[in-house]
Amino acid sequence: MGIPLSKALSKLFGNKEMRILMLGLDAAGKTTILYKLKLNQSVTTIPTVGFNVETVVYKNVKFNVWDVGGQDKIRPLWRHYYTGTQGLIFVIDSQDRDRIDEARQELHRIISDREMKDCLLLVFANKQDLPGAMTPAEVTERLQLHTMRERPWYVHPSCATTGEGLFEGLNWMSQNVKTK
Amino acid sequence: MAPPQHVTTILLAEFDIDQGSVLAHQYPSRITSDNHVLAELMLPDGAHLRTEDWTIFFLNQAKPAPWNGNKALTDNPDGALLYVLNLVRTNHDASVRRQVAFSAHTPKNFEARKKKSIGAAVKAMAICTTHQYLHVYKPVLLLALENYFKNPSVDVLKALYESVNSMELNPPQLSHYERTILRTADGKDLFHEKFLAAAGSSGAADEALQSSALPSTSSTKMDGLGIVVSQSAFHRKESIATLATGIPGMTKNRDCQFYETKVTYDGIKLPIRVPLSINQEEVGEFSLIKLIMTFSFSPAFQNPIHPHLDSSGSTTHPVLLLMNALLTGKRIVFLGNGHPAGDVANYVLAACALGSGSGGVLHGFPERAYPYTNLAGIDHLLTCESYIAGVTNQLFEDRTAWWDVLCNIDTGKITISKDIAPVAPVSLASFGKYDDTRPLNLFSNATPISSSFKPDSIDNEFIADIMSAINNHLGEMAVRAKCQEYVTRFIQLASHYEAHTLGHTTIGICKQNTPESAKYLGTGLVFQDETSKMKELAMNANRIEGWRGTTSYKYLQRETQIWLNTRSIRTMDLRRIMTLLRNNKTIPAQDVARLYRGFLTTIVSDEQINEFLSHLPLNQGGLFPIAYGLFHPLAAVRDDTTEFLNRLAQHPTGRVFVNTLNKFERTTYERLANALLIRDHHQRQYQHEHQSSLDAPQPPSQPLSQSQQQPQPRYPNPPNFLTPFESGQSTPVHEIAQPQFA
Repeated sequence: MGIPLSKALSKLFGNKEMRILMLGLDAAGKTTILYKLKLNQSVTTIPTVGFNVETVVYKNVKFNVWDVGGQDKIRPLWRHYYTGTQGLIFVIDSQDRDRIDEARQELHRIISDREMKDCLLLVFANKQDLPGAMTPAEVTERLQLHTMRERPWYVHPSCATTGEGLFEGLNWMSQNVKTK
Repeated sequence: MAPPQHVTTILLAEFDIDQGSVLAHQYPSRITSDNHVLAELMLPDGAHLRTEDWTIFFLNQAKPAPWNGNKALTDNPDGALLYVLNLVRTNHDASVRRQVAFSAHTPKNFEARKKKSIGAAVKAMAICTTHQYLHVYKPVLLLALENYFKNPSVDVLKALYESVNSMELNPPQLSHYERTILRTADGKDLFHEKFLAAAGSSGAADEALQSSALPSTSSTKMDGLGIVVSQSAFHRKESIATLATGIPGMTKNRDCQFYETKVTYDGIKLPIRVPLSINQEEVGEFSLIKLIMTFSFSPAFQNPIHPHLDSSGSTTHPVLLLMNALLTGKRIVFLGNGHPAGDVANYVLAACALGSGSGGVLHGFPERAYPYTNLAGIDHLLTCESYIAGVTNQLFEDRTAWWDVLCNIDTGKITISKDIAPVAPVSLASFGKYDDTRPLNLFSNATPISSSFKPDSIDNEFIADIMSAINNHLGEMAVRAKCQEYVTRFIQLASHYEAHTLGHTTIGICKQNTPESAKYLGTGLVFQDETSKMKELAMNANRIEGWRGTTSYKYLQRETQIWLNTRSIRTMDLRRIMTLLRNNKTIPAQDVARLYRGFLTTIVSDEQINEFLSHLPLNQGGLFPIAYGLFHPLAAVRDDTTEFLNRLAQHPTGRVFVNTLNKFERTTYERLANALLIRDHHQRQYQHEHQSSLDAPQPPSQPLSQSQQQPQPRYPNPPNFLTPFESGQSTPVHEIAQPQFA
């Protein structure tokens, strides 16, 4: 009885809940983004063993954000997180030109999974504060996002340490999520 | 012959900044070829969030399918279950921060990035052992991992390996029954002869043994016929103190529950206490109390009713629901969202104890336990028909297809999966497959469950009993004992159920395998009356059927077969007898007489006495139910009881039991024993005087009909209560091991 009531209330006040999966190569800045969103603080992070998960409320939308470690050997575990994911945040280290192709391969592998066919794609072109960082347009190009026709996607520049661009990204997510 | 290895392998895993979890070293040799899953288990989720975490996992289990494609079984052909104690630590390295690397403007220089971007080091070291008391290695593992942080080299693993394997381990050799007796005792004087023997075999105790010979000679002489049971404890205490000094494994303040030894690592002597009375499948350190308390107070949930799980319908207590899930081999997950892995591991170990009767009744639980696992192990887990797993990833909560029962350690909520495989409740029709077409009055006669009678009163009693034990701070061992008792009773009930529905049972003592038991109050579980028996069988039918499909049932069948062939007491069902005696059931006097005579004729050897005593837990009054015979109206029963107690008093363990008789019982026993001695004395004199006469008349006081038996030979020497142990030190058992009757 409790659950339907809270559901009715959330409909009334427009509360939405969204399950977000945040992936990307190691050291792209996923954990820093997560805690900047959650605490509005720039925390010093260390490599994530396993995952971090936090709930971030922004504009009446409750985002359950899963931040999963990005090292080479643990990427095969990403697939376990796909089911039920409504939005994918893919974080790019805009300065790491060496590995942008590796990032592209991983991204295309993720979104080609059947479980991810309906999910939104938000790409953070992170670390924009660093010199020589790729622009969002360049990231879009290098990730070959234009090949995706069916899926809503969005690339936004960000700087995790200052928080610039993060909430704009979430805003886009909340506006485009399909209400169930 | 090489000494048995306490520790087979030392493992080291670390979190590599580029690759993730990697297994860096395996010493002395590779234990598995699937380094990746092992590394993932050693570095649990969220290891970066805390400074340290202790976890436990097992290797070489996984019979149903190869572990995620690994060759764990083929790597280790003997396939013994290995217990792994793992310590993971995160050392923050304040001098080098991850961000520094990126502001250094070296995007092209990959190597530089790799070197500089370690803000912390996450490393884990693990000890793989065949000992189930793996927690004793915690201190040494802590030191070794510390050393590895200072000096990351395989030499650290080598030093640890050599150090733990050079540990002296000569615990007293205790049989199954002796361990059972020890478990229920808090006294310090049990089995010290075994300690001595163990110490003697290591060659260190000779001197102490010699020195102890002196006081024993002085105290062997008896003071006439005086039997002073109460003083013996005092005398013996002194001698223990003498013996204990200088014997490894025995300190002055010896605790008979532990064997004490040490590991020398890096010049530091670390004391190790090896528990002696642990049950066969009790692994590690865990708290059953914590498990029960966590899940006892959750409100009723809207769980789907499952015949195997809800033995009391919708009012099944959550702890019993968990118990049923464990018994019937469901897929059980303990979720501790964001908890250290060590937390969930303890719940899993405790759950194994709950379902298996504290590791002493049912087997096959550790082999399907995954005290800590994560997504890396899920592929393997999903190939298992039944498992008990601990996880810290809340993702598991949503994946209802992965488990049957989920226990959330934060909320205390037990959820039954909506995807659980349905089973049909036991019905008359389903019994057809056993080729038993007799009409089953079992269910038709039983009163409907919905009626006024309290459902599952035994189950409710069990929960109430456990709760009161916890609230009265009786301690972990008391709760484990109650749990063991409950599962034992469940087995007896299941055995009864089999006999009732199939006509025979393979998991317990019954008329067929123990025909003589008819003389001694029969076999099987004691029920209050026929109605309650039928009710209980009907209530339990579903979960018994569920359990009969599990591996633990098959193990029990095999073990029962072995036990039936090797047991030392072959004529009676002691468990039933003790229950009857303890419950003050009115037993016909002739039955009692036959029973005590049965004790006297059957329970003779060391092994038989130990098996007998193992049914009389010291913390539940010890010999109290037997001493009841001292007050029986029939003189024959009183005499037999006295003589039987005399025999027990000659046995090193039995004597400890006799000493725990209460004052009233003891005084009565002493009086009767004295009377018996005097009577024997007179009898011998009488026989001596009438030696020439061929037809010596039977002494008037001889109990029972002696037509088929010669008069009982009493002890040639008066029982020696003061110093039976000291005097019979070499072979205290042999005196009584001689068969008394042809």
